[in-house]
Amino acid sequence: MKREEQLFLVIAILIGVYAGLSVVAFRVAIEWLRLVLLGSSLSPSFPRVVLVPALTGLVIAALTIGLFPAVRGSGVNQTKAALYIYDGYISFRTVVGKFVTSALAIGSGQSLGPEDPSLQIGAGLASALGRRLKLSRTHLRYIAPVGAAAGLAAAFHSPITAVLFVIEEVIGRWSAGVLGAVVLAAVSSVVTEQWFLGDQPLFRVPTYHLVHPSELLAYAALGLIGGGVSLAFVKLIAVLRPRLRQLPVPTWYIQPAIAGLLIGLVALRFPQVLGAGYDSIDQAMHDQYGWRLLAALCVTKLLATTASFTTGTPGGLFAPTLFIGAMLGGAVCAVERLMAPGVTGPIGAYVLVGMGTTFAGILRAPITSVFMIVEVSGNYSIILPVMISNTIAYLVSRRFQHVALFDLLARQDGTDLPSMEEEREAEVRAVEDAMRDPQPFTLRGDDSIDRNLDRASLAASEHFLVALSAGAWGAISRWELQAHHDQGRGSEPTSAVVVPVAKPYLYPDQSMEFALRVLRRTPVVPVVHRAKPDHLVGMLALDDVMRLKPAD
Amino acid sequence: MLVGTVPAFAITQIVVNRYRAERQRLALEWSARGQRDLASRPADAVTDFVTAMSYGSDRPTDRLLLARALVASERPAEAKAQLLGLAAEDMANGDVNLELARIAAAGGDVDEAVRYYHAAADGVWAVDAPAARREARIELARFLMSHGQQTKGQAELIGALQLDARETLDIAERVLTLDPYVERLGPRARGQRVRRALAIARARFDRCHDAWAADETVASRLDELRTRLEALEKQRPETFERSVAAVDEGLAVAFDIEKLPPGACGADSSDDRAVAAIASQHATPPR
Repeated sequence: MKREEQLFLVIAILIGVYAGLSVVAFRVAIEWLRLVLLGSSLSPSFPRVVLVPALTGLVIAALTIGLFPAVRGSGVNQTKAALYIYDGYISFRTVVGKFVTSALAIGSGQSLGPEDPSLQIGAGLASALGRRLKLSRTHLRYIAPVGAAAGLAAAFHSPITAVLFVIEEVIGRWSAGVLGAVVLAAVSSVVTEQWFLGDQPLFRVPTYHLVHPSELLAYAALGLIGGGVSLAFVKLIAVLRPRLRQLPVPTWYIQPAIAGLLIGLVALRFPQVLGAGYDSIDQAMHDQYGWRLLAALCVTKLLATTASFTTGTPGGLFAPTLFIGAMLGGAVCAVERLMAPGVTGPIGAYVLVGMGTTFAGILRAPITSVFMIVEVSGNYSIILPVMISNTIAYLVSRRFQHVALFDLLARQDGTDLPSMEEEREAEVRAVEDAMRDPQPFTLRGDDSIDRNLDRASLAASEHFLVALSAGAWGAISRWELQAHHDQGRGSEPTSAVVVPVAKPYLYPDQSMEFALRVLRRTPVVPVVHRAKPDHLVGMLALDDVMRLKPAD
Repeated sequence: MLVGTVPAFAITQIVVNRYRAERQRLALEWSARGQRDLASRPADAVTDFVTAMSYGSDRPTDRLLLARALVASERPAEAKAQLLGLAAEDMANGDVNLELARIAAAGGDVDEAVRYYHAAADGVWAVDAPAARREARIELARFLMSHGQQTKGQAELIGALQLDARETLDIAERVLTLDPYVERLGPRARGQRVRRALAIARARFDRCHDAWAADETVASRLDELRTRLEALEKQRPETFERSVAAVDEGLAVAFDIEKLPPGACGADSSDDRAVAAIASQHATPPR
C-alpha cells in the first residue's frame, strides 16, 4: 500500500472525529434554537408557532441568497458535485452556511431534517482537511464522500446505513480503497458522537414478531401505498420547485417565510409537523396515535416538507421521509387492526417498515433502505416485511417516476451528475451479445496455408481462428495468409506461421469492458465454455464489438 | 490537525454538558407540571409527560404517569401501549401490571384482567409492597365477584387478607357465623346476624369517627352514616326479622362502614374483616 493511501485511511479517521464533533454541535444548535425560538413545549403557543417559522424564514432567505448561495437544498447533490465536478472541493464557507441556516430552519420548525446537512457538513470539513494536507487529486475527489459518510453516520447513529448510502448514491461503486476510508470515517464519527450524546438510539424500537404469514400481505399493501405516497411527494417537488425558482428573485426572499407561515398554521392543529419529528415517530412507534391522526400527519408532513424544500430552505429530506413513512405504516397497521385484529402485529413494526418503504420510494436507495431499518431496529427478523414493502414501493416509484429525486434535483439545477440508479439499471453487455458463430471462421493448423486461404476467401471475415493442439488457438488474418502464399510458403502447414492467442480466452458471460482489454492483445479472441475450456463456443473480433447495438 | 482535536473535544464537552443539564431541567419541570395536571386536567398531563419524555426523561415513573393520564383522558389503547412498553422492560412491575389489569377490566377482557391482576399481586412494588399486593388482590376479588365468579373471588379475598392459616380459619369461621346470605337461614337467624354486623360496624365507626372528625370532606359522609346507623339501632330486634327493607338498610350501613378506608380507623378486628369479606362478595343485600 502506498504511503498516501495509508495516510488517506488515517485521515479518514480524523475526518470521522471532526464530523462527529460537528454533528454533535449541529444537534445541540438545533435544539437550543428550538428552545429559544419555539419554547420548550411540544405544542408551541399561538403567536409563536405562526410567527417564528415565518420570520426566521426571512432571515434564512437573506442568509442563503446573500451570504451562502451554495447551501440551498439537502446537500447530497452538492457532495456528488464535489466528487464528479469540483475535484472534491467544497468551500468552508458552505460548511458554515449550511450549519447556520439549517440549524435555524430546523430549529424554527421548518419541516426538514438534520441528516443531509450533516452529510454536507461532513463532506465540507473533509474537503477542507484534504486541501490543508495537500492530498493528491484522486484522494481529494474521494475525500468529500468519505466526510459525507461520517456526517451521515453521526447524524443517523447508523454507520452501516451511512456507508451504504454513500456507496449506493454518491460514489456508485465498491472500491476497496475508498470503502475502507468510508467505513473508518463512519465508525469514528459515530464513536465520537456517542462519546458526547450517549448510545441511545433515535427511537425506542419495540420488539417485532410476525403474527401470521398472511400479515405479509398487509406489508405488501403498505409497499403499494408507500410507493404511491412517495410518488406524490416526488412529483410535487418536481413540479413546484422549478416553478418557484422561476419566480422573480425578490420573491426568493419571502418564499421560505411563506413556507414557514403555512407550516405554522398547520402546526396549530398538528404541532408534530414542526422540525425533524423524531419524537413523533417514537410516539407513533409506541401506539400513541390513532389511525386518523397518523393519516393526517402523513399528509400534512408531506405538504409541509414540500413547502419547506421547494422554497429553497436549507435542510434535509431524510427525517421527513422517515416521518411520512412512519405515519403511513402506523395508519396501515391501525386500519388493519380494525379489519383483522387477530393477524396484526405490533404497530412499531409497521412504523419501522413504513419508514423504509418511503425511504426506498422517495430517495430510491433500495439497499440502504433495507439495511437502515435492520440497523435502526436491531432486529434481523424484520428484514422480510421490509424487503417486501421496500421493493414494491421502489418499483411503483420507478414505474411512474423514471428519474430519481436527487437526479431530478440536479437536472433542475442544471448540473449533469451521474445517476447512480441509471448506472445500476444500465444493461451490462456481455461477450455473448457480440460474439459470432465460430464455425465459418475457424481453420485447422494442420492444413496448408493455400488450403486455408481458399477457405478464408469464402468467409466474410478478415480474421480467423486456427485450431492448434489440445485446445490451443491461434489467430491469423486473410492478409497474412495471402502474404505467406505470395512468399511461396503455401504448402507449409498453417500452424508454422500462425501466432498463438495467449490464454486466458474469453467466456460468454464476461463484460464487454474486459473483452476490449483482451482485444488489445490480439485482433480475434476465442470464446470458450467455462466448464469445458477446449470447447469453442464463439469468437470475438473488434468488428463484432463495433457492430453491437447499444443497450436500451 | 491532531492537536486541534483536544480543544475541540473540550469545547464540545462544555457545550454538551450545558445542553444536557438544560434538558434534564426541562424534563423535571414538565414532569412536575404533569403530576400537577394529572388529577384535574389529564389531557394536559398527557402533553406534559410526553414533553418531559422528549427531553430524555425515560424514567419509568413518568411513563407510568403518562399511562395513567392517558387512561384518565379516556385513551386506554394508547395507555396500554405505553404500559406494555414498560412491562417489556420490567415484567414484574406491580404498578404497571395493575394499570394493565384495570385497562383490561374496563375493556371487559376478564382473562387478561385476571392475568395482570395476578402479576400485580405477585409483582415488585417500590413502596409498601405488602399493602399494595393486598390492594391488588382485593381489587381482583371485587372484579371477579362483579363478574359472577364468587368462589374465585372468595379465594382471592382470603389471599388478599394476607393472614396466617390460623387467622384465616378464624375469619372463615366468623364469616360462617355472620353471613346473612346463607340460604337456609330463617328470618330470625338472619335478623340476628344483621344486628351482629351492625354492632361490629358501630365499633369500627366509633374508631373511624374519632380519627376523621376533623376532615370536612369525610365528616359529612360520617354524619350521614351515623344518622342511618342510629336510626337502625333504634329499631326493635323483630324489625330485622320481618322487614326486608330493614335487613337491606342494616347490611348496607354495616358494609359501608366496613368499606371505609383502613388506616385512620386503627387495626381492624377479625370480625371487621369477616364483615368486609362478606361485603366484598355481595353487591346487593340478601332477598
